Amino acid sequence: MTVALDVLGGFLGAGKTATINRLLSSAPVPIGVIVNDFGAVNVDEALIAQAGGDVVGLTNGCVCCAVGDDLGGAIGRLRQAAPAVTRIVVEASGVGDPRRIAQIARLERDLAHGLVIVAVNVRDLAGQLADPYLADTVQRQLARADRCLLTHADVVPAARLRQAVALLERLGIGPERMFLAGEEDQACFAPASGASGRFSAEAVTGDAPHADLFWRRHWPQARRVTRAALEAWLGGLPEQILRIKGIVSVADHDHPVLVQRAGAAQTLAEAPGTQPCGLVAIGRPPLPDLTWPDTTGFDVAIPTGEPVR
Amino acid sequence: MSDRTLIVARRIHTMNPAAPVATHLIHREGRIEAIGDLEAVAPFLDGAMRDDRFADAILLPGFVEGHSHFAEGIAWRFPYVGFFDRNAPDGRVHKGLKTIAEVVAGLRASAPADAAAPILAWGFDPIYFDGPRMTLADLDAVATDRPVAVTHASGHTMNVNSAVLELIGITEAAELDGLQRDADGRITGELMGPELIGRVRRMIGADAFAMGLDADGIRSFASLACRAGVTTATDLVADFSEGSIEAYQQVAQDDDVPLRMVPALGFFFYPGDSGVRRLAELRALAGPKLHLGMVKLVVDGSIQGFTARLRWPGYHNGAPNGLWYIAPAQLEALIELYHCAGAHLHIHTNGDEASEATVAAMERVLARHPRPDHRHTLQHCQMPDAALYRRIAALGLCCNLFSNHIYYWGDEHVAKTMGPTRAQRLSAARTATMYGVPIALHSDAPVTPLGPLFTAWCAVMRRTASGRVLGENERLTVAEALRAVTLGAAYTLKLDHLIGSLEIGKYADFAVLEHDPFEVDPEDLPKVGVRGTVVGGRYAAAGSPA
Repeated sequence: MTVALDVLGGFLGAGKTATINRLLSSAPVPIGVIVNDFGAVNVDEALIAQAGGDVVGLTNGCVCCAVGDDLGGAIGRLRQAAPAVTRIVVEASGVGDPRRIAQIARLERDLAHGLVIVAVNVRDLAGQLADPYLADTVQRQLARADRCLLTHADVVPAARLRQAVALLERLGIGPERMFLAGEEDQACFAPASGASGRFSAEAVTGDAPHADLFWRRHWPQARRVTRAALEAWLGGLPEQILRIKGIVSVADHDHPVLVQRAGAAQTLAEAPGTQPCGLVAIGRPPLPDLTWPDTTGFDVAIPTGEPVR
Repeated sequence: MSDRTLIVARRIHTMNPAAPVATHLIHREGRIEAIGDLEAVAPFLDGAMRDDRFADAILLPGFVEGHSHFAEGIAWRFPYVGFFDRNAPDGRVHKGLKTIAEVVAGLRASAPADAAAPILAWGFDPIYFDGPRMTLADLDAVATDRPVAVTHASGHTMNVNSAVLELIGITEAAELDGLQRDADGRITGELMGPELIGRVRRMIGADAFAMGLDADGIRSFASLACRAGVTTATDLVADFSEGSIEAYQQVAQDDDVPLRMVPALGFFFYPGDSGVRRLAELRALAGPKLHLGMVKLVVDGSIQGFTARLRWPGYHNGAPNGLWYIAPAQLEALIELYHCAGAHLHIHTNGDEASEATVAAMERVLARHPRPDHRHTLQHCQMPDAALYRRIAALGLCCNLFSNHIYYWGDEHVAKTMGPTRAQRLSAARTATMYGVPIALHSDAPVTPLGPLFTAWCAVMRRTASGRVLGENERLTVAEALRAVTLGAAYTLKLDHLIGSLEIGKYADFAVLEHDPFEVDPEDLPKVGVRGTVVGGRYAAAGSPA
């Protein structure tokens, strides 16, 4: 049976292991993965169906093994242990060229060309490309990538994400080849037939192709709100809001509250001094249809969506 | 004391500045009890056996090879097809093969009797050939019905025949980095890069560089060492597997093997902190002839293979910069891990950017965790300029320089990799010494032959294979070069209290020489005959079976 082989590359800290962990736990069909360091893979003990030799099988049908110093051998062991698996993902080393690994792997019998996917940590990319020690290594990895998986997008300011997107474009990687880690994993690893990331699917319109990649809104606060109501409201925000920050005056406290939320991480702290109250949110399209429940005490401000600069 | 032995030699160079020359020496229990003239040894003569075998010989401290691989001892199980004449462990001189036709004939002659067995050869040196490079057709002329693979001297390139291509699944259509093609796009059979070469070795059979170490291999290496006057040598990338450790131990317990062994744990065999644990497990196995505790890191590739990391403006011929085998941030973490565990680091850095990144990482680690007398050593360290050497000196790092490279690849460095100006500072021993960097000189055997007298000659004459002098101002004196291959190397191994000079209390380890290297014309250093070695007081004649 022909098996398709993808290689997941990316510099150190790009989020390769986290991606592997997500693929293993949520693959729609069983896949095989070959990793550098099995110890780094976060497989729940309860999910391990059998562990024989250096190939571990999971209850969902996925299998995982460590590459050691023999990629061909690892592919063989994995295929023998899980003959039904039709897709194998190989994790490249942080300094290796994933295209080169794909070339070597494809010398194995009955392996079809899959994808070379390079994970890019959007927080680190600009620094890496400015670092004379690292720039050429990172560029070399990206130069022959089929697709990029953008990681850590949920923990950086939108401007940083946008900068990374622009840098990748400058390296010749169009938005149709960029995918957001997490929500677009499956699309990114889907066989090449027409899948494309949200960056292109929804954003490429008008003169400025990425002006509406992200939206930003500012809501000034006119009336005070209780802390409990604020927390409930924050908890109910839709997924596409990447980041929210601001200072909110609360009815049941002396001091206003500093709200900071990036992805799933959220903090509410006492705000220093007396500053203008309101919230700024940054998110991906579509613009959420947010209702500001005035029962909480917020005035309903007319949101002004504006492109991020 | 019945086991006291008196040695009287024509002259003994001690490398001890307080008493540099002697004629008489008493050794007991493998160590030097007295050394000097007759007066110095007189109180110990009672009952001493007199050993006159060295009466007409010159004794030096046994040479210390700070960067070699015991795989040299295994390599001779396979045909040698290098350009230069080379000594095998059995003493036979293998004539250098000067044309592709000679290589093809040599391979045919050395084919294993088993008609299906692969023909695996090593040491191929096509850079010295005029005319076209070796092709698939050349090796198909050796055999078409069995695999033929020839590893180049640098270890980074391999030529194969059609049978190998078929076995490993390479077709004309293959899109494959490192698969060389001629002007018409045809595959030449030349393969580059560790992934591709590694696959060949796995598919057609392990050669000298892929086989595990065994005791016989170490014994063969020890025979070569004895012929070269070497009494202590490193095995500078070791897997520290049960098999290797058993081989070291077996050899270490055999008094007839004239070699002290200093293997270094190769970091890439041990993910995470498992290397630290492995070193701790093995600590108890160390002894007088087996020293454990060193760790080898490999930061970049080779300059002549264009895989070394060079600083701006990069390679002279415009080739893209080389490869990090360890990313700089990971390097700092690895250095910290092993440094804090008390290990002694030997770090392969060929290009100056790799050296610089290592120095920068070392600066930060040592600022956080100062440790007096760490003696971490940059291995090869071929390209630092004066400014980088000043930083190296400030950190107390040692450098083990690859002086043999000047001869074997100096012309390549002028023409392709470094250009005529930077190539002058290849293995800049004078600059290093001027700034107080402790240095050693090495062969990297089997990359170049084991032979400290030749290595010293390289550092003294700095002459390439074509006769060009590279960096006249970087020359060492004969005395400095001989110190670097004895006490200098011992210092980089943290063994200078035991070996490297002939002083009371240190091991009775000597190189037994026919001529005085301090007196011959420096040009003739490699011609100084090595009669054998003494290790722990036991004499081994060159050519005697180990």
